[in-house]
Amino acid sequence: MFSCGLELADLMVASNLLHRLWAVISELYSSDRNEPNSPLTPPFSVRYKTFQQQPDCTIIAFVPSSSSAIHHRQGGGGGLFLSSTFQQNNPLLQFLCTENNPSFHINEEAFAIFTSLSDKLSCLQQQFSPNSRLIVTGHGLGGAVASLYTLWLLNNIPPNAKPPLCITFGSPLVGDDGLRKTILCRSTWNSRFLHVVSHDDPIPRLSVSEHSYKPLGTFLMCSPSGCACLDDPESILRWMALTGPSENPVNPGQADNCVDYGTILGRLKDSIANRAAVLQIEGPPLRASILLQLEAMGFGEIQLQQQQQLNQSNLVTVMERWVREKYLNKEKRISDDKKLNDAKIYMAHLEWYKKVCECDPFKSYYDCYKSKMFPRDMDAAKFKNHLTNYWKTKVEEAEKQPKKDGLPLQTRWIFGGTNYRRMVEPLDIADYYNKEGNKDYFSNGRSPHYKLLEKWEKEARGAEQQKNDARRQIASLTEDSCFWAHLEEAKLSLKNGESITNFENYVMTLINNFAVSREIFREKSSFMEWWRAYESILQPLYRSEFTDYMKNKTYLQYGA
Amino acid sequence: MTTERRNLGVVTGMIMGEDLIQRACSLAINAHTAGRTYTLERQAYSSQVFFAFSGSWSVDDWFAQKSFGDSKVDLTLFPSLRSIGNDETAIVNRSFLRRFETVLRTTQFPKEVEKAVAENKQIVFTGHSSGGAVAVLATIWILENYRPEEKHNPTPPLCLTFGSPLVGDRVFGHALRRENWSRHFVHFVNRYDVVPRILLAPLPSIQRLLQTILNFFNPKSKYFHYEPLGKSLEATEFFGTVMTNALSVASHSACSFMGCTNLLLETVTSFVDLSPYRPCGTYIFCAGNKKLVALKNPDAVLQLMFYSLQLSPELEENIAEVAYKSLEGHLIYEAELQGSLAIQDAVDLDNLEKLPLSSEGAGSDLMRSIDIALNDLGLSARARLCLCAAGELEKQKLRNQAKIEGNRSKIEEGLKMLKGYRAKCEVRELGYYDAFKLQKDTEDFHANVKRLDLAGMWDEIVEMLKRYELPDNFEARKEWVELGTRFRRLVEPLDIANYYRHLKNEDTGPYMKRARPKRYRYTQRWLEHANRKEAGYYSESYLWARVEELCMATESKPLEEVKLMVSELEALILRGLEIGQIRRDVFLEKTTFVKWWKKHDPLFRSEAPTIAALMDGKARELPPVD
Repeated sequence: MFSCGLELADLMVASNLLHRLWAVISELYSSDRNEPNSPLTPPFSVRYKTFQQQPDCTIIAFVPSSSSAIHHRQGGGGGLFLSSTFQQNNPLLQFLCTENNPSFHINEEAFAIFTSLSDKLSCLQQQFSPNSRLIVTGHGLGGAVASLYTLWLLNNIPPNAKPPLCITFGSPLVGDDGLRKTILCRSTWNSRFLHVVSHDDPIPRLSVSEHSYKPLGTFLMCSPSGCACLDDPESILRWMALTGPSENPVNPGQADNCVDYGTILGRLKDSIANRAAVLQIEGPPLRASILLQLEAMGFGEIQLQQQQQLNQSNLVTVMERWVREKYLNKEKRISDDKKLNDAKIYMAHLEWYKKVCECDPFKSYYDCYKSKMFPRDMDAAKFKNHLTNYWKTKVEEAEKQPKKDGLPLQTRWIFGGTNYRRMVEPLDIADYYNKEGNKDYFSNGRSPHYKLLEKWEKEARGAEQQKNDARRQIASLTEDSCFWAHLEEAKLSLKNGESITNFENYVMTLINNFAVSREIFREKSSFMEWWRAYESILQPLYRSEFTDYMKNKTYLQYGA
Repeated sequence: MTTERRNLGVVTGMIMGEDLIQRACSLAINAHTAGRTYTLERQAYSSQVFFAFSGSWSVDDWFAQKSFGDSKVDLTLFPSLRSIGNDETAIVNRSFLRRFETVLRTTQFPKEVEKAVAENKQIVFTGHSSGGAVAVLATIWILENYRPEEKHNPTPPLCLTFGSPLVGDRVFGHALRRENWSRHFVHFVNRYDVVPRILLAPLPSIQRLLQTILNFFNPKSKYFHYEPLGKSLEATEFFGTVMTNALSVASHSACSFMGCTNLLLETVTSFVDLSPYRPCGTYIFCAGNKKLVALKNPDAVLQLMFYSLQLSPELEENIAEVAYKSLEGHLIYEAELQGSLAIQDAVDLDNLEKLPLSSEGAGSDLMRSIDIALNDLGLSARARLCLCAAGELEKQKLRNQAKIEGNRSKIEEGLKMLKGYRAKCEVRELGYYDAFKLQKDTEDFHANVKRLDLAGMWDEIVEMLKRYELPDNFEARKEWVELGTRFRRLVEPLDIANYYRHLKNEDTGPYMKRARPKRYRYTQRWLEHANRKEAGYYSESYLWARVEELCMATESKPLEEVKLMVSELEALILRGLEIGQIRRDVFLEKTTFVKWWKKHDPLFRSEAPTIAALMDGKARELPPVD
């Protein structure tokens, strides 16, 4: 096991990307002041500009307007970085609120500026070509606005466009743990942020101590002895707390003591050619790689010892734990394949169960299961539970994904899910109506994961535009997994003397589309029993396509 | 690892004396001025024939058009240069490929190779600088065309390069290692030679200076070895740019083999220009003090390409000096080797995962000598850690393979059970395809569970192959190709039966088009590659999918189209007969196939004479299932 924070940092520094971005930011600083900027009065305002680099790379840069930059340098007075409870009804970032995470805190100033610019920025988005790579960058408060804009973009860009990358320099943190959690729910979003922070920059540290701000994405932490990339919030916060500008308070009068990232990047690049001083490092590779990173982050051996004397739990241990956890998650993902295969085997068992049920020439497998006559029916319930657990988790995970990335599950999963739904939901319906007095399965009994699977299947079909050509063969499993619930409701309607027409039409459509399985016409199936009851009370003159179909026993030829 | 210092021949596994290396080196350097694309050296008394390729130094001979001058290889020329299951074609440098193609097309080269092979001489390809790159391609060409493993008493060809630029990408190296060909390649690289690193930089970053620098290496140029050029600011700038880009590639690769869990890595990859080229073969680094260090792990070689260039703080070197050294280093191979080879041994960096991270950690004599070698190359603790990680990945691949091997007996058992099932179905006069599709008996159900069991084990293998997590030679291992073939032939019909039983074709379309699982696509390609057949040669295992589609098409499609499908099926069956894979149970009375034929009998006879004959009774002569 290794920790590769140094390698990732080297890639960033050596690839020239950061230098290009900083050059753009410097250009924006020095350009004249007629660029669009936020209408708010300074000190809270930023300027931004779009740069076209190479034919296929667009950069949008945000920097604080001069006066607010000075304000920053003053170290941020009272109230500058108060967090505000994010309002659910704010339309701009509302997509971030989820059911399990209804509220979070966000940097008030950055949000105010972003809101004031939102009209212009959303127009801007229309101009990006979907094939172009997009980088959003910013310095100081501009970086925080860049982060919010990136979040908004991630949710609003068309599914075929390339997602943006956000790289900030010396920016304050934008949100709290709630924001972090809601972003982590989207599998790829957190990986689209990189924040470059210098060891002596006060701005990113302003909000660290007093509020519950949490870092988002990856941090590239620069010190005089090198740089390293970390994405573990706890280690990042510790580093921020342990480093920082020297004890001299920032002099408000001195405008130029702002940290110059251009110089830092230049220094880092120059150091590539030089081999680091030889360190005597031993121990397991993970520990060794972490010690080397700490060294690059400005914690040599001496500082580490001091830290231990302060009796704080060791940063090395924190970092080690993080890497181990991530590795375990990775392994878990691999074992997902195994679970999928197990699920397939459970499905095979249920298919076999259905087959065995069909040996009873009179009933459908819905009725067999409902009657719970044999031990095999109990076994089926067991397989059903395994499968339901599997799919519930699967759907839950998929639901957390951003909806804009097209379908939440891959098509092959959706087909698997459809198959599962058609096989298993009838059994759930049977259990539901087995309980005396239960009715209206759709509002009271149906598990949300079925609803989602059904919805996604429809979307997938829409996307593939396949539904146009109707089936040529009879479905072996009834297409509508809720068929039996419709039937149970029709039974109740019959009992209560309500109209049956809707159900008639529904069944007739299924029949015409070959969408219902032949088993419903078995002599003693619930469906046929219902039909006989219905037939017995039919008005002699009542005629419909459905009643003709049933009375003439046309169903005997169904699919023949 | 019993002795740390080994004879070079032992290190590379090739017979390779000092004379041979020295000779190859001087031939390679003299080739530049001989005025031909290659120089042939054969002497009656010698058992070797040398082909020395000359270099060329125009920018276009290094970077053709694109940023890295790369292109896919021509698979008709180099059929093995791809990954088998994943079916990715290797990438090579287009200029070097073009140069080799010219040699092949316009010179006596193929004839002279043929003659040398006929005389049973050992062929040695050699080249310095870009000549080395052409020598690499020539060697692969001869390995493709004169497979040493098939000839009696073969003398394996050898490729020796000196300061050669990189030639191919990751898939390129993977393919050579899979074929067990990488042992034929030995690359000598001076620690401070910039040339082997040049292709790690994208052309735009060095374009302005590249021609100037190449002139320094060109013996025909008036700036050849021109000291003021080597010591110029431009040379320093060039060196710095190449080094920075080498670090980009090396650290990106290190992140991957260290198992980076930060997804930022993937995000950033699409925003930066990274060279596709990777080392492959045995690398022998000349440390500069007459010491040689050998290693084969391609990931580790890439790390060394960067880290051995770093300036050491103790020596108070400055970058301009090292930049000059790095140009000089390309032109002094003969002298450098003269001293080193006399010692006739090299430190072999195998077992990288156990490298000492610092001198203090070097306990044994062996570790101490390795530590000295690492110091000779100027490797910091960071660099050593990267080498460890590269070694660790290789070990992980072996552990993955051991895990897969552990499933072997379970796979065999499953196949045995399904074989028994197939035999029983034959007795039922139904054939196991149709029996399985009907799923009437408990046996059919058990076969289904076994099918899924096996699918799980094979999908695991496929997933690992997709991520290149198994040793490179896995797909060429005879026992796995054979097992994969038996699995595919026995189980794929069941998958097809399952597919059409559930009418999945209504949702997903024909089985062959989109639904065929990777476990069958991969194993089919394994066999095709092993027997050197074209793609699609061994399609016999999806016979039943063709039959199903045909049955449906007969009802719904125009007759002409159906006839076309029938002739396709005829061809499939002919091939199946040819390779002995059509058994009697395909033509049993109650099968889908026979029923369909009987229903439409006279219609398709002219398209399918073979099928007609089999249906008419010839099928009884087919072998029963075994």
